[in-house]
Amino acid sequence: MKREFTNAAGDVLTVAALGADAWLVQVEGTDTSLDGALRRAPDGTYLLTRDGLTRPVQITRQGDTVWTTTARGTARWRRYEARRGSAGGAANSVSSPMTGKVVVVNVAAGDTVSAGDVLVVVEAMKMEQPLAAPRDGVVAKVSCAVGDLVDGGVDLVVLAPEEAA
Amino acid sequence: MSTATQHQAGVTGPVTRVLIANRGEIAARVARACKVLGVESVGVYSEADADARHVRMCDVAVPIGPAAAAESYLVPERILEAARRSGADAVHPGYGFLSENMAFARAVIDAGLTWIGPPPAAIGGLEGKTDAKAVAEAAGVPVAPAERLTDLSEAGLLAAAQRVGYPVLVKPEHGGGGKGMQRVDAPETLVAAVAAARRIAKAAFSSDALFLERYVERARHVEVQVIADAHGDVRHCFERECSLQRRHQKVVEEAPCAALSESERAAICESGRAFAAQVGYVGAGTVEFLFDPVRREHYFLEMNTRLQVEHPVTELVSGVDLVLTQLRVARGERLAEQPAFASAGQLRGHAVEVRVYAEDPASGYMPQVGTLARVQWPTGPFVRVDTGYDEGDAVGMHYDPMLAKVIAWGADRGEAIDRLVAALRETVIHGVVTNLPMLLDVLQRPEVRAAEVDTGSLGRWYGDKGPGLDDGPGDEGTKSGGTSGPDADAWVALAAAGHGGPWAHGGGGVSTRDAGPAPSDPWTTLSGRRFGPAGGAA
Repeated sequence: MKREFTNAAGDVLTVAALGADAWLVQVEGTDTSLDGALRRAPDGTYLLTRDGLTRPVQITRQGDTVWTTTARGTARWRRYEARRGSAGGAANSVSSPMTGKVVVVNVAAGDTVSAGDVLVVVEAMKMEQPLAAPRDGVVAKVSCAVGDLVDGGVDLVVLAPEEAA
Repeated sequence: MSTATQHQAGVTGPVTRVLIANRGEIAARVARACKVLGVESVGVYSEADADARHVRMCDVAVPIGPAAAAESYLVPERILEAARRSGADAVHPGYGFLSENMAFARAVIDAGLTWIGPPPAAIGGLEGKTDAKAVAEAAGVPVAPAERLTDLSEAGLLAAAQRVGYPVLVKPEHGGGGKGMQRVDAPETLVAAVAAARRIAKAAFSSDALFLERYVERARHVEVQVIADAHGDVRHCFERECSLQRRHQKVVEEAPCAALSESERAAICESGRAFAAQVGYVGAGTVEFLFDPVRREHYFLEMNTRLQVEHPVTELVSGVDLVLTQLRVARGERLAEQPAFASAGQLRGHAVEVRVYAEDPASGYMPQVGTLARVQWPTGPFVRVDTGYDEGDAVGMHYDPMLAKVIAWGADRGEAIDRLVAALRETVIHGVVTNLPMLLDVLQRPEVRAAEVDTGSLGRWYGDKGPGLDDGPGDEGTKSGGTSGPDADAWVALAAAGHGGPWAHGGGGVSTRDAGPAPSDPWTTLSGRRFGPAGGAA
């Protein structure tokens, strides 16, 4: 199984699983590219090899939080949409935060929705990701269907503009 | 103070099954000493600690009530009932909780048990600070120049301040917590400061009685470890320095104090020993001093009549197992019969300890709770870890958030610090935010390397917040996640290991990493942002 990810810098990362505890990683970056391999040692430590050098990485998944420790220290990672949800104002649309498959579509154009209603569910890497309405409103357009493969950042549901107060 | 003969009752006796009236790392520490001595250990635990490490380490353990310490660890009757039920014949209080509660010590002795601590009279007698100062003077131990303000005329105040010596601290005689205290540097501001302090003291403590005390600039907190047997043999095990404190909470502790010359060390250690001898002390205790680095003088502060959190640094440089010695003293053994005290004490090398807390320095040291999903304590030569937590344990909200003490020894101070830095870098704690980044930052500061620290250092360097998660030393903070970002390995491994996604950094408030990801960026750093329902520490 191959998976592909892109980040802000434009780096494209491709991952191919080699069994349960080993992966091949390829990055086509804007200013870097690498071929690497990752494996999980029996004690749970991940060993990342790139440019012929192997470095340990500690990764611990705890619900919606992931902890990593490298030579740089410990970092805490959170689900990305959690940030978008609180940082964003009253957005007019919802989009998948990642590339994935649409598994549920709950609304159609013309439906009235309330903030927090789950409009679409996207699945990626066996993880279901509910996408909720950012505000109360009326659905103007649904541009996906169950089974579609969608890219991150592309609008899936658009709400009608808010009426001027 | 009472005489030495009165002190025998209850503080020596049978020690074959020791109830440890504490939790966490200190309970585990005492359980270890029991194993070394070949006696049984009895743990106690609240509902929150049913699976705790100290319960797992003790031979047997007894439940003592609800999670709240006030309903369990702090209730003398519950501890005594646990002793009865388990057939314990001795009680070790650890530190904190009931360790300096005179009534509890008396109750233990009245129940016919051996109290592994100082005579209750010594606990009570040293609680009142003015009494303790009188004892110090009687023992020939220097106290900071101080004077009760009786003549409140301008001339009287100026004369008193002149005798004490500027800068002076104006202090309410009753009350505490620093309220109403004012520093005065010169005669011009004295009268106004005294008037203000009287008003505040009157309002807060219903008494406007004040005294003046010498204010020690760049004061260093130096404390002398003492231990005495029940036969009048009082020894010191050298001194510790604990100047790196945050709001009176010690963060870094070391032994010996790097600021002292050999003769100053001999003088301050003898002061500590003399004070303990004066009060007929038995067991382990600590005599605290302020050291004035300008006048090169030490002043008595107070005596702590218990084992201290930071006792390991003393153990490493003195070769004395303090907890084991406490147990032996309680059995009535003489210090002179023990190998560590057979010859005159020798100071060996240097030891430094840091306290690893479940707290977030970047958010103003907020205590953190959670489950320790992954824990890797450091190992290796000359490194010691005293902890109450293993991987999988829960860190709750009911008790002190200290996870562990990490201690390193070196032939000299620099080597000890190098070892400690390496040990902290080896430490992995996933599941709760810790102060590890701050500890690493502190240990690598040039002032710390040069031993130029005082009790105000941490406050001056960091203010109310410290370096938090994901702000490790040497982090250039170039750009958000990705292969050229500062934590490319984490980014790549996280993605490749297939832990779902996308993920964003939610580090502390002082991370130098670049924020501002594009909306579609799956893995990115989000420094200094707290966000969303999943955000913030649990």
